[in-house]
Amino acid sequence: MTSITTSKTPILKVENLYLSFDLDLQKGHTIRDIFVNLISHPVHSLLGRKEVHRVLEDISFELNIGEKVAIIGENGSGKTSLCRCVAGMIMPQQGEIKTNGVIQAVFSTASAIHFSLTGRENAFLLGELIFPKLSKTELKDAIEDALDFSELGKFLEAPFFTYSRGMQARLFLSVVTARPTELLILDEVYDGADEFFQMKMQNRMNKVIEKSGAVLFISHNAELVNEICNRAIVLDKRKIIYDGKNVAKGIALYKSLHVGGYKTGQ
Amino acid sequence: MKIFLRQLISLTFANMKARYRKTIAGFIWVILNPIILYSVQSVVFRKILRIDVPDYALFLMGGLLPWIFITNTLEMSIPYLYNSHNLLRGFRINPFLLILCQVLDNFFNFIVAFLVILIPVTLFSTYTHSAFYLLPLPILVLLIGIASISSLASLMNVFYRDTKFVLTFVLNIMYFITPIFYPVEFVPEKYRWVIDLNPLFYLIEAFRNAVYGYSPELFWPALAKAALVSTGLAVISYLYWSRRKNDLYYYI
Repeated sequence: MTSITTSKTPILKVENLYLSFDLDLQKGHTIRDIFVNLISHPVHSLLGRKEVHRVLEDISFELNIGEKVAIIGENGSGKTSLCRCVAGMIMPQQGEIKTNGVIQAVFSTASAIHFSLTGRENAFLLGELIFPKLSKTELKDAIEDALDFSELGKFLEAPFFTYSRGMQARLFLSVVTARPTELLILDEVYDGADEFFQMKMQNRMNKVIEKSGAVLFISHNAELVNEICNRAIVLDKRKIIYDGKNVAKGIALYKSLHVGGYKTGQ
Repeated sequence: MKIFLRQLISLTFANMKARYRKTIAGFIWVILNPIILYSVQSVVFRKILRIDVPDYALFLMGGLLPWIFITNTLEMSIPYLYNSHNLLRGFRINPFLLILCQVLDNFFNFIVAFLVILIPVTLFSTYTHSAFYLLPLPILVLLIGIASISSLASLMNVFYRDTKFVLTFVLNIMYFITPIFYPVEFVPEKYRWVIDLNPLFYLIEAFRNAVYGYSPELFWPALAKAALVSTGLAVISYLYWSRRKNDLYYYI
C-alpha cells in the first residue's frame, strides 16, 4: 500500500530536541491583572523577565519499523509534549524531527468535533480531518469499516453528547486506526474503553504495526505497557534517562523514581 | 491548500448543521438578530431622532450590517479556541481552521441577512448612487480583516481569559465612535482624528461606499485603505500566532 518505508530508513528520527513554553503567568491570567500590575508596579511589569518553562532537553532517539515504544515518566516529565512535537502540533525551539510516512496521534478520546452531531457525523468529520489525502469514496469505505469495528450499532445515530467515555473512546480509536499508518501515537487513550474493546483494539493495533508501522505509547498502566511494548523510553525531568528493549527494566526504573513514595524499586 | 479548503468547507457545514439544528427555523432565528436590530435602529434614527440623511434606510444598511457581522463573528470566535480545548488537545487539528469556520458561518448569515434587507429597501427607494456589483471587493477585504482580528483575539483569550469581556466593552464604545448610524461628514473637523485612528471604520467605509454614496473617486481610495488595514491586521495576527501557537497547548 504505502511505498515509503523500507526496512533501513527509520520511521522517526528525533535529534537534540529542546522545547520550552513562554509563561506570562507572573504577569497574570487576565488583561485586568496586567492593567493592575502596570499601574501598581510599572517598572517591574514592563522590564520584568518573562518566565520560561522548560519542558524537554536534548531528546534524541530513532524509531524503526515494528517497534512499539512505551514512553514512561511522571506527570509533567514531558511525555505528551514530546509526542505533540512528533505529531507536528508543537514546534520545538531547537532540534530536528524527521518522519517518514503518515503519523496518526491521539491524545484524548473525549473529543468530538461537534457534541450535538451524531456519532456517525462526527466520525466522518474526524475522518476528513485526519485522512485528508483520501478520496471521498476511499474515506467512506474506511469510515464505514471503522464504524462496524466500533460495534456501536444504533448509538451511531445518537448525538455525541449522549455517549459514555467508553463509547467515545471506541468511536475515536476506531476511526483513527481505520487506515494503516507508519506511526501511531497513543497518549493514555485506553482509559475508559472496556477490557473487551481494549483487547480488540490491541489486535487492531498489532495489525496496524504489521503493515509496516511503529507505535509510541504513553500509559501509566505498567501491565499494559509490558504486554504491548517491546521498547521503553523513560523520561525524567525533561530528559531521557533510559532507552532500551527491556521494558520491565524501564518500568522498574520509573517506579524507583518515586523516592519516598509508596512504591520503590522492584 | 486544497485540503485545507476542503476541510474548511466540511467543518463549516458541520458547524452550521450543529448550530441550526438542521432546521430552516433555526436558520431564521440566527438571521433574525441582524434584521431586528437593523429595523429598530432604522426607525429610531429616522422617525424619532430625525437624522438628516437622505435615503437613510440604505445608508444605515451599508454601515450597520458589516458592523453586526464584525461583532457577531468576534463574539462567537473569541471564546471558541479556549472552549474547543478538548478537540485541540485530542489530535492534530489546525486551530486556525476552527476560527475560520466560525468566521465563514457568520459570513453566510451576514450575506443572507444583507439580501433579505436589501430587497425591500431597494424596492421602495429611487436611490441611484449604489454600485452593488463592486461589493465583492470590499466584502473580501472585510472578511480578511475580520478573520485576522478574530484569530488574534481568540488566541489572546486563551492566555488572558477576560479578553472577550474587554473586547465586548471596547466594541460597545466603538459603536458610537465609528460612523455607522451617522455619516463621517457629521463629525466636526477637530474630532476627526478619532475616526482616522479607527481601523474598523476603514473596513466598513469601503463597503458602505458601494452601497450608498458611490463615486469612483471615493470608492477606490476607500477600498485601498481598507485593504491596507486588513493586510496590517493579518500581519499582526500572523506574527502573534507564530510566536505563541506552541503555548496554546500549554494553556488549554
